[in-house]
Amino acid sequence: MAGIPTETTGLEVLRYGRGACTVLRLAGELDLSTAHQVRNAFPAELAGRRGRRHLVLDLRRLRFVDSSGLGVLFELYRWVTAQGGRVAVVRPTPPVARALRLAGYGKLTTAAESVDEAVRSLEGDG
Amino acid sequence: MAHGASAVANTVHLEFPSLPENVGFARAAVALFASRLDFTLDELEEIKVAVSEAVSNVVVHAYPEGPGPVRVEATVTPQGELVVRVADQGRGIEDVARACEASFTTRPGEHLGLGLTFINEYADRLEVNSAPGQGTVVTFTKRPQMAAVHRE
Ligand SMILES: Nc1ncnc2c1ncn2[C@@H]1O[C@H](COP(=O)(O)OP(=O)(O)OP(=O)(O)O)[C@@H](O)[C@H]1O
Ligand SMILES: [Mg+2]
Repeated sequence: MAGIPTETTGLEVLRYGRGACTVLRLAGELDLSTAHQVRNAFPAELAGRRGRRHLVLDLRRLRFVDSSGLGVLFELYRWVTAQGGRVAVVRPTPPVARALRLAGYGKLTTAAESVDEAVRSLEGDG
Repeated sequence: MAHGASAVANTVHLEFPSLPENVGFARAAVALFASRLDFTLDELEEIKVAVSEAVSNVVVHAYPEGPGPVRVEATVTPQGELVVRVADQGRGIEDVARACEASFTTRPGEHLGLGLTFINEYADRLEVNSAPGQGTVVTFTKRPQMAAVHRE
């Protein structure tokens, strides 16, 4: 049926390092029941550790976000910037892009078309 | 008979305890029910966010002492619009007008205060009925925009 994802609800989080950046790839739905997975994958202590000052959020496969999900993305932003780092967002899907825009997240972060571009741009002027 | 509209209102309801893992189920169920109307995919996404916000608020705010009942009711009116009502019997809201302001939250630091703002933005109409100790009822209405254009 149109518009109804057949996948079960839930979130997959993958974290890896790229130069001076930590990359978090989020796939699925980020809401009240899955926000803790992001917090667990990127606890406050991790910000700025091992020379990885910046954070890249790869949102190409994030289908859904609401205010609870945005809450955790703002948390990450605060942790990273408190350590002198910056945050880039890679190609959010249209509904996610709209929520980020409404919440003002777009103004705080760098938009990138790919993880490579995000890493280059964060390392370039950082 | 026009697609999606009928002479009587069609209503479904869900009742469940206010647990985080039920939020995704509630928004998917309402979106599935709503998909019989001529909503675009974007509009169905908006409906999902609105349901998610209303139900998450019950989980987070309504029952400080532990999970309590949530009732979600979705109706397709004879006019072909979707009405969603999310009701709890929790602590209620002291100042409803303030609660609806963007960035107002009684849990600063943890929350952004954007939930009701999102519902306001994504639905055509939002009504919040609440009083301290009396529970809260959030009702929002949404019309398929395409259908409205076609009818003209
Ligand atoms: N069902 C409810 N029961 C009791 N209080 C509520 C309920 N829904 C909302 N509120 C009150 O209204 C305020 C604003 O709600 P809103 O959803 O806009 O923001 P939030 O839930 O605090 O933050 P966010 O939605 O961004 O996570 C809440 O902080 C809470 O005090
Ligand atoms: Mg909320």
